[in-house]
Parts: sequence; structure tokens; C-alpha cells
Amino acid sequence: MWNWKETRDEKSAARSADAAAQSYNTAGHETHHESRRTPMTQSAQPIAMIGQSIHFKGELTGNEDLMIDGVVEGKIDLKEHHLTIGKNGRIKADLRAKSITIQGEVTGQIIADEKVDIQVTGRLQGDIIAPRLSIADGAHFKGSVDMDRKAESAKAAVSHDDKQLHVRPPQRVAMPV
Amino acid sequence: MQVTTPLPPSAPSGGGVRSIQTRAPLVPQPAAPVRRHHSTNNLKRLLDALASCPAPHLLDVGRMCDQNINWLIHHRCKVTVDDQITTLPPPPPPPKNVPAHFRDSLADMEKPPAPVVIELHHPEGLFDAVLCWDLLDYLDPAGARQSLERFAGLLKPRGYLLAFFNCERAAVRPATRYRIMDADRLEYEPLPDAHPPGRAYENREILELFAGFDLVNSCYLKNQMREILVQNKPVRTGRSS
Repeated sequence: MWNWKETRDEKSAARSADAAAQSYNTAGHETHHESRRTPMTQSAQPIAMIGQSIHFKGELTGNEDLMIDGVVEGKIDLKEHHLTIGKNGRIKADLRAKSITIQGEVTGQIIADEKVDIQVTGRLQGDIIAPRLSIADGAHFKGSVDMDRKAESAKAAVSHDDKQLHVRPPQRVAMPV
Repeated sequence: MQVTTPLPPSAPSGGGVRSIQTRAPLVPQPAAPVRRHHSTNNLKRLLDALASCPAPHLLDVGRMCDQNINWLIHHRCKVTVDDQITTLPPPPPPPKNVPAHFRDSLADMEKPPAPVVIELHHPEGLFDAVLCWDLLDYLDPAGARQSLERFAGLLKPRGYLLAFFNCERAAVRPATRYRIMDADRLEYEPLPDAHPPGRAYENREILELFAGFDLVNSCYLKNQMREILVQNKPVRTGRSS
């Protein structure tokens, strides 16, 4: 009944998050000797990062992917972008993003347009509104999960309109006399 | 057994051949746990019963499973996840040299001072249904009874509760996670690393446990599982807190 296959966008978002996490972890090991590197995605485009020693209180908004490995309290709103909470991240905030990957600790409400992914080291206490959820074995989650009913109904209405627009009128076939 | 494998030309050691000493394993490796699919009789019944609710709110107290959550939210449910099984203390080790069918009787005689009771911190009368899965198999009868009282309090009047009981009297029954494949089919995933359920209830005991509910359907499956779907009383009176 439901299409469980990930869309390309979801896959690429997850891949870029993994790549960002991997490159960050690698960078983390090397920071003993060199300056901290900015995590890079596969397309070598740097993503914004809040490092381990940063403690931020307030409202955080942005128009690019973000990785948080520090402490954030308040509210985070990335709208159309991917948010990764790194292994050292400690978040007490309401989060909103296109997709969210959790490797650290989060307490708060989460709204994701596409997917929430709680990885094996992730701990989440709070409510989720998202169409898809992935929880690794060993991850901790306590809270409720719901879909954004308004968005879903709006999508359904749009797809219904599209279908109506693309309906071809029945063609007349000339019958041989 | 001597196995020789050629090294790639770029390998740092000068020789082109490396030898690996391997031994045949002395102890046979345990086979990977097999996931089996079994039919379910009461899940569809539960969904049909909830069809009249505009947005049913379910409480899942079994082992956390993202596939179940996704499946349920796509069936227009709101799901609250409160995995109680992983937080339970491991059961005491079974007494040695005692046949499996005597163990439960012995456990009754050597009761711990206080039964393990499920602690849930949710508002009263919030949920349309509670998914227990096989949680009660991890509790002794006193703990199960008190936990069911608690679930009844969390349910709305005429709310539903779905529970499974493994009636197999095997010495070791592995912990299991139940994945919803569709409304009629579940996947049983054995979890060898998790502590197993400590109790196998008799049918009579199961019916006694649910005396405070109205029975909707109880069925015994070919795989020796009992699925039971019950409904909360319209108005509960004289319930202990």
C-alpha cells in the first residue's frame, strides 16, 4: 500500500549527513595537531557546524545544512535543510528541518518534513512530527510520533489536482462505416 | 590447513606470496537467529475497531520498532512509544536441575518481596489503544495484574488493549521483537542478546488477568502464541491508583 522506497532526495540527504559525520569525526581525531577542519559533504561543499565547545542559548535559524556537536538550548529552525546532531551534541530545543539525524542527546519537539533518523548513539525524549522515522537498535526514544496531517492532506490535494489536470479527454475513434 | 594467497603487486613486503594459518573451528558457531513470519488475527481487528476514531492515539509499551511506528502513523494513528521491556530488570536465573514445567511453580513459591510493576507517566484516559505485545510474559502475575490496572487507567473508556502470550513451555524462549509486515502478518525477530521472558502463562491465568476488561477476541495460533484483544470497561469503578 505504501511506497517504502526512499526517494533520491532522502537518500542523498542521509548520505551527505553520514559523510559530514564521518569527515567531522576524522577531523576530530586530527585536531590534536592541526586546526579544526570544517566538515565537508561529498560535493566538497562545507556545511555549517557548531563545535563541541560551543554552548548556545536562543533561536537558531539558517538556510544551509547544519551539524551541531555542542550544546544548544532554545529553538532551531532550518526549514529546507538537513540538521545533524553529532555524538557530542546536547540539545534542549524544539527542532525544525527537512530531515534530522540524531547521534547525540535531544530533548524537545521535532518537526521534520521528510525523515527523522535516530542512530545507535542517539537519545531522544520528545514528540516527533514527521512522515518517516528510523531508529537504530540501541538508540533510545521516548515520546510520541505523528504525521503532519495538514501537510499530508495538502500534498494529497495537490496530487489529486495534478491527476485531474493530466486526465486526457476520451479520444474519438473513427469507426469504419 | 595452509592457504596461500597472492599479494597485490603494490604490497610493501617483497615476497609475492603470504601464508595464512587457519584452523577449523572447534566449537560450531551458533546459527544466526531466524526471523519468521506468522499470521496475526487481532491487529486487523484492532485497526477496524479504531476506524471510527478520527485520529487514534496508541501507546506502544513493547520493544521499540521503527517499522511498526511508521506503519501505524501511515494508518493515521498517533503513536506514543514507551518501551518498557528494555528497562525491566533481568529475571533471576532459573534453579538448576528442575524441569522446565516446574519452574513457574517454584517461582510462585519463591516470590520476590515486591512485584515488578510497569511505571508509566502519561495522563489518565489519553489512549485509544495500548499495544502490550508480550510485555506481560516478563512480569509475574501480581505485577502483570497491577500493570493492567495501570493500562486500564490510561485507556479511554472502551479503549482497546492487545497482548501476546507465548504459551510454549520450552526451557529457553528467546526475547522477540514483533514487526508489523501488514495487518495480517508479523515478523518475529529473535533477540538473543536481550533477556528472555521469564513466564509462560496458562490460559486460565490469562483470562484471570483480563477479568477487568471485556474480551473482544482471544485466539491461539499455530506457533503456540496466544493473541488477546480486550476492551476497557465503559466506566471503571473501584480501581486502585
